[in-house]
Amino acid sequence: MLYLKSLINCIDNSGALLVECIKVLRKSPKNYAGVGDKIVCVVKRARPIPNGSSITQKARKGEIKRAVIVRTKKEIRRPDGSYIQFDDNACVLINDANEPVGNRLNGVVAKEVRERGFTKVASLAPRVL
Amino acid sequence: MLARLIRPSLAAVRLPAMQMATFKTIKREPKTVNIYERHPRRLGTENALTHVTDKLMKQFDPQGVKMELMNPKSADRIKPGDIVQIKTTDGSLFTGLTMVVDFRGLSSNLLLRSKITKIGIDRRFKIFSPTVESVKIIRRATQKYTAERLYYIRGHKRLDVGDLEASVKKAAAKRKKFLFK
Repeated sequence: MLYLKSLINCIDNSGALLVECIKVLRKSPKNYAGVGDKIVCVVKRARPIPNGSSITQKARKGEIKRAVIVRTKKEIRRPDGSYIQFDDNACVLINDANEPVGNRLNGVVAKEVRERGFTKVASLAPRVL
Repeated sequence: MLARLIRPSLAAVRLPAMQMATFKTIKREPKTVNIYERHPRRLGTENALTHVTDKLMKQFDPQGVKMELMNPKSADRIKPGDIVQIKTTDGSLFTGLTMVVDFRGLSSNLLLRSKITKIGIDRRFKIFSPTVESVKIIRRATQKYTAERLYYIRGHKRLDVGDLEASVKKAAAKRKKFLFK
């Protein structure tokens, strides 16, 4: 259940650590984002760039990015009646072609991410539950 | 009033019999009628709901294995704090500490908690569901819990679970080593 102003952990290596949701895409205004939904977000906290280093980070503080939700605290109901819920809300930054911006994920991802068409995100995850 | 007005106009529109015969008639397949089981009350049972649940229980749990694990009256039942492994029909395994045992007929369920890659995961399984292939008790509760429902272990410093999947694997490897020494 993520909407405007929700703070979400970013679990890829793009450089972003914490993002704030500013828009849930393709949902009615009264609705909220769950696993597999796309959002627009602002990078609130990013990994610091050491002085004089040539490493260019893909996401910096204050940037506006798109992301897909991969874990939620709110339980997800599966068709067989089972439920799954995680301890945190997490997302992965993506580009316009639904491909992840980073190239590594740390942490599990819900099965619904793959079912919603984010196969590249799911394949990067160490475990899909 | 309105009907009286329309009636003569309809009669005027009506086509002659010759023209009507040119229409093609669509052939329909013969209608099949489902024959259902007689109503349970007429079969002589007391309650329709118990009749249906008993029937489904026999279908989903013919040997009564799952019932023995869930029934609060049985000695080998799953208790809160036990570590349980569940195998589903899609081939995935989930090992977790039992937080809640909910015995409520066909929709009896277990709430399991585990940590994978340092993230806590809670999963609720409907035990009598045909998607649940097997339920196995791996380890009995090592300590006494004061509550029936262990929601309070989430995020607790001492009581919260670790990566159970890894610890179960480790214990199995240790046992194997001990046996072959």
